[in-house]
Parts: sequence; structure tokens; C-alpha cells
Amino acid sequence: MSTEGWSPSRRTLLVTGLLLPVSACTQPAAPRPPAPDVGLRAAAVLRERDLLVLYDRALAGAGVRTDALAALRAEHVAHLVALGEVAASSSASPGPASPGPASPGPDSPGRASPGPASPGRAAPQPGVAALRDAETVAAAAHAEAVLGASRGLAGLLAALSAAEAVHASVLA
Amino acid sequence: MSADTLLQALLTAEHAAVYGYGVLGARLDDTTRPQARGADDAHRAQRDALAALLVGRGKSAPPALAAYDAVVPDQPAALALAIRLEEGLGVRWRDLVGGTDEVDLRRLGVTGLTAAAVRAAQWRAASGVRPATVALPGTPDD
Repeated sequence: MSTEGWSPSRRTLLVTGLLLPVSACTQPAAPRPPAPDVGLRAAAVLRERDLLVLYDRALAGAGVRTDALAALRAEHVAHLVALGEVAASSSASPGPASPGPASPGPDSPGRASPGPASPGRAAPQPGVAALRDAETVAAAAHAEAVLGASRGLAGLLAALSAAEAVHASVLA
Repeated sequence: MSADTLLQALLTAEHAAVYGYGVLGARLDDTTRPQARGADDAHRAQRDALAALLVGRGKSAPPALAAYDAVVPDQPAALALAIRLEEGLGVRWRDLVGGTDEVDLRRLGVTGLTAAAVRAAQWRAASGVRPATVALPGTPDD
């Protein structure tokens, strides 16, 4: 077949048109930025887990306030359930107070993720004032996160903020 | 539901709260009556602020009813009513937060929900309910 009269520009277009879909398949697509809720939810989970660590340490020697602190701790477990981090069937009651840095693994229901085991002195036991301050900080952080969240997550974060503020008030 | 409709629902609830505290306060003892007085003052201020906000947004501010269904024969009933009023308002404040993308209204909602949740916990404590706190304030009863 003669190629005379076959316009190079048409051939170019045809070849280009055949190559483009193939090249698109072989080049990785630019990653989509994560939805804002992903980061906001992860940050909220971290705040709740940090609070659980504090309550676990406080409960290790809470004395007469054990019941009151355990009830507040249980609500933080409920917060993690609401955030989708813990199965609803997990126990809300605290496990045995850990005397040292060793504690169950991160997936144990009802327990916060442990930090790295320290070969030296155990972390000091937080008092009520430290718990109150931590609750106040978490309340403010949840409230700030509300502003950029989707409507569904915003309502939940608002509830978490209010709950932490209530905790701070009862720890006063 | 629009943000303005949610604000109108809140104002309606605040009208009821102001009326309710006026009734229940008379049944409280000297220990708890100051708490009711403080809550009443807060709800009056919130009512006025919501009315002004709605008018500023060009919307109608629902008026208070002449009377509300609030039977309070004794102190336990008064405490129970106070808890219900605060929990009900908490649901509406949380609805506002989750029902709008307006940052200022979300801030208002968080502040309102927090205040209602703190008062509800204080009333539960006064009535001997243990624990006095709830995990997720503003969650409607199923």
C-alpha cells in the first residue's frame, strides 16, 4: 500500500493516540490527598489513647478514687469505639493496673498502646491535677478539630470535646 | 435541615428551659437552688443571643409559649427535669454542629454543647446519679 498522500501529521496523531492510553496505564497516577477527616480522626484517636495511658498510670495507685477514675477511663474507651478504633464488644472496665511499664499489646481491648519499655525508672504516677489538665487540653484540641471536619465527624468531635470538658470539671 | 432551622429549634428549646428552671427552682433546697439560678441566668442569656442571631440572619425568632408542660411536685422531680432540659439542649447543640459548615455556628454549637453537658453532669451529681458523666454528650435517646 502506498503511503503517498498519508499525512505525517495524521500518522503522528494516530500513533500518539494509540500510545497515550498505554502510557497512562504504565505511569502511576498522582496520589490523591487524603480526605481531611482521615487525619482529624487519627489525631482524635491519638488524643484518646494518650488519655487512656494517663488513666492507666493513675489507676495503678488511685486509692479511694479508683471507681471515679475508672468510670472516666471507661468513657475514653467508649470514645475510641465511637471513632471506630475499638470493637464495641471490648470491655470498658480497666484491666489490672500495671505496676510498671510492661503492659498488653496495642490491640488489647480496653487498654491503650504502651510506650516503649523503659529499662530505667517508671514514669511518675499522674495526679488528679495532671488528669484534669490533660482533659482540658484534649477538649480544646477536639473543639478545634470540629471546625475542619465533615458534618458527621464534627458532631462526634463536639461530643468528645464536651465529654473531656465535663471530665475536667469533675476532676476539679 | 438548614442551620437556621436548627437555630430556631435551639431557641425554642431555650424558651422551654427558661420556663422550666423557673418552675423547678421553687422545688429545690438551699443547696441546689443557687445552681438553678446560675443555669437560669445562662439560659436567659443564651435565649437572647440566639434570638439576636436569628434576627441578624434575617430569620424569624420563635417566641416563647405561654406555658409548658412541666409538672414538678418535689425536689427529685425538679432535679430530673433539670437533667432532661440540659440533655435535650445538648442534643440540639450537637445537631447544630453536625448540621452546618459555618465555622462560627460550629464554635457556638461546641460551646453550647459543652455548657449543657457540664450542667447535666452537675445535676446528675446533685441527684445522686452515678456516674454523673456520660460518654458522648448530645447523643439522643434511642
